[in-house]
Formats: sequence, structure tokens, C-alpha cells
Amino acid sequence: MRLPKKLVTQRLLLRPIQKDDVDDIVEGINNLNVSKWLLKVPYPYHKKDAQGWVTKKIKKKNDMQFILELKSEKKAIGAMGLHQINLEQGTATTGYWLSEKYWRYGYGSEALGAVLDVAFNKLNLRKVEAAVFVGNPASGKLLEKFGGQIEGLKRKAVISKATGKIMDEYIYGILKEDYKKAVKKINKNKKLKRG
Amino acid sequence: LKLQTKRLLLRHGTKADVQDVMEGINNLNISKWLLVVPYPYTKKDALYWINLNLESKQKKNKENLNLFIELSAEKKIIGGMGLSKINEFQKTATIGYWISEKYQGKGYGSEALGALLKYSFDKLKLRRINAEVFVGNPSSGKLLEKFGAVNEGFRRKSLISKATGKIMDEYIYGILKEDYQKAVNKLKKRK
Repeated sequence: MRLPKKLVTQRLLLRPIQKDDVDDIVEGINNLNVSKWLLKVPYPYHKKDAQGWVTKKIKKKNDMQFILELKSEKKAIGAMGLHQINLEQGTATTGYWLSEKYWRYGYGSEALGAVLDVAFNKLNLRKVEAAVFVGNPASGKLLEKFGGQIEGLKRKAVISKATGKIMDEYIYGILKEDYKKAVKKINKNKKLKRG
Repeated sequence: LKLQTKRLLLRHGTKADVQDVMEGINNLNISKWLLVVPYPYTKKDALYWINLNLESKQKKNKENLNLFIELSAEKKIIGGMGLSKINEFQKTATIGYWISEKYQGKGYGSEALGALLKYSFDKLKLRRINAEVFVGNPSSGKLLEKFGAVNEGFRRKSLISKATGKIMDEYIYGILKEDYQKAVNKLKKRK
């Protein structure tokens, strides 16, 4: 199965990482308010770290990593991916970050809608999972918008590399049927808003 | 690596174990609870599994430690138990096991799990061990709970069992080092 390279939404372009994204990536992720919620991102975060991530991601298989480019500014404002894609199992995991300056404009929701559309409608996956550190409700709410349910709370699950703290973690699961129901609701609300 | 208990020896596999491994796993009552084991399970499958473990034994960064459970009295492989996703930075790993049907209900699983958990927490200095148990397999969950594991979640339609092709729900278990120590103290007291 060929994985799609690019997805376009109203305000965003989801595209592969390029080497010249490094500066934007450092700008977005070299910020504890962002990196403390991520598993493997060190703090401070240098250009060298970003270069390492870019190289690793370009090579990786069974993985669809997108940069979120804000079309109007031609700027990389975050990243989102489908990882551990297992077509035999019909499963994958998702993860994302958004540069702090660009929070609360609905960009995360716009991007996640596009990525889940690929996951469920193109790749025909049955389930997408995500792990969210306890204390990061914004990330959980985003998943819940698309039908994500908390399925577990793993105590002292992982150490955040940025802070060195041991974190509890929620396991979220979005089944295809959860997603479809949620999307119907979202579309209905849109129609109502438009009148 | 060898871990010795009263009745068992946990050790790496060799090609000579093929017959015993096949005998134990080529049984739907066993393999339906395992993720990646096909049914029927042939000699080729058993050899592949043994070779895979021999290869990972040679690797410098050990992500996996898969051992076989030998019944000392019979010099026979009666099960398997191992760690996967060993993460040195996180100090975590995932545990999994099977016991041949003929040898179930005799406390061998508990004996082996005690030994491997002791090694994991005391020697490898892990701080947390994960385990996943298909819903419908309560004996496996009880075994984990004996050593302090807490049921932390219920993953809906989480995986397809290779042996049966069925989509399975799964319990997530976690054993923290402190859970384990408390449980072991309790077990010792009872003895």
C-alpha cells in the first residue's frame, strides 16, 4: 500500500519533512510548554536534534510523518503522524505537536481530521491509538472530538525526556466506528453553524 | 543467562528444543491467547522462533530476552517466558509467557514469573513492567496479580490473534517495582 505524501486542508498543507524545516522545528519544539508533553524530545532542543529527527523520519518505514505547514505563512507550525502502521492488524498510533504561538486556532483539529481520514478511509485501519501524558487535557480533548476514548491509565508509564519526570499516561483508542460517529456529529454541527 | 528455581530452569533455547516447543504451542488452547503465533504451528515456525531469539541474544543492545522454561526433573521444555521492548532509558519492558497445557495448574507459571521478575527488577533495575492479556484468559491475569500487577486498562478490539483470526479485547497490566516488592513480601509472609 502506497502511503499518501501530501494532504491539503483549508488552511494547512500536511507534507513530508524537508531538511530546511529545521529552523521552524527548533522554534516550535524548543519550548518546554510543548516538549514536556512529548516522550523523546530533549530540552533544550538544538538544531542538531532537529536534523537527527528529520534524517530518522525520512528513512523510517511503516510511518507517515507530516509537517503541518500553515499555507498563508509557508511556515512549519507543527507535526503529526501515523506511526507503527500495521496493515495486517489494521492498527496504528498517532502523535502530534503544535507550536505554542499557533495553539487554539483549530489547526490541530484540522490536521487530525485529515490524518484520521487517511487512516480509516484510505488505509482501512480498524483502530488508531494515542498515548497522552496525564495533565495535558488539550491533547485528550482533541482525540475525543474524533471519537477517542480513554481505555487505560498507565501509572508511571514513561519518563519525559524534556523534563526527566516520570509521567502517568492515558491510553486513547479510536475505533473506526467511533470515528465515523464523531465525524457525522461534527458535520452536523458545521451545517447548523452555517444555518 | 540461566535462572534456576526449585523445579525449573529458565534458559535460552537451542535447536534441540524444536520438538518440545512445537508440542507445547501447536495447541489452540495455548496459541489462541498469544498474539503472533500461527495455528497450526509447524516445525518451521518453531525453528524460526528459536533462531530469532538466538540472533537477538548476539545483539549488543538487547531489546528482547526470551527464555524457555525447562522442567528440571524431565529435562523438557514446558513453556516460554520473556521480556520484549526492554528500554534502558525508560527502565521498562513488556513481559509475556506460555505454559504447555499438560503442565498447567501446577504452579510452574508462578515459579517462572517470580524468577524473571526478580531478575528484571533486581538485576536489570527496571522500574515498570507491562503485560497485555487477552480478555477471556483470567488465569494469565491472576498470575500477574499475584506479583502485584494492576489492571490499568481495557483496550477495545485491540489486536487480531494470529492463531484464531479473531479480533480481541485486551487488558493492560502494569507492575511497578514497588507493587512487586509489596507482593513478594506478602508471599514470603504466607510461606
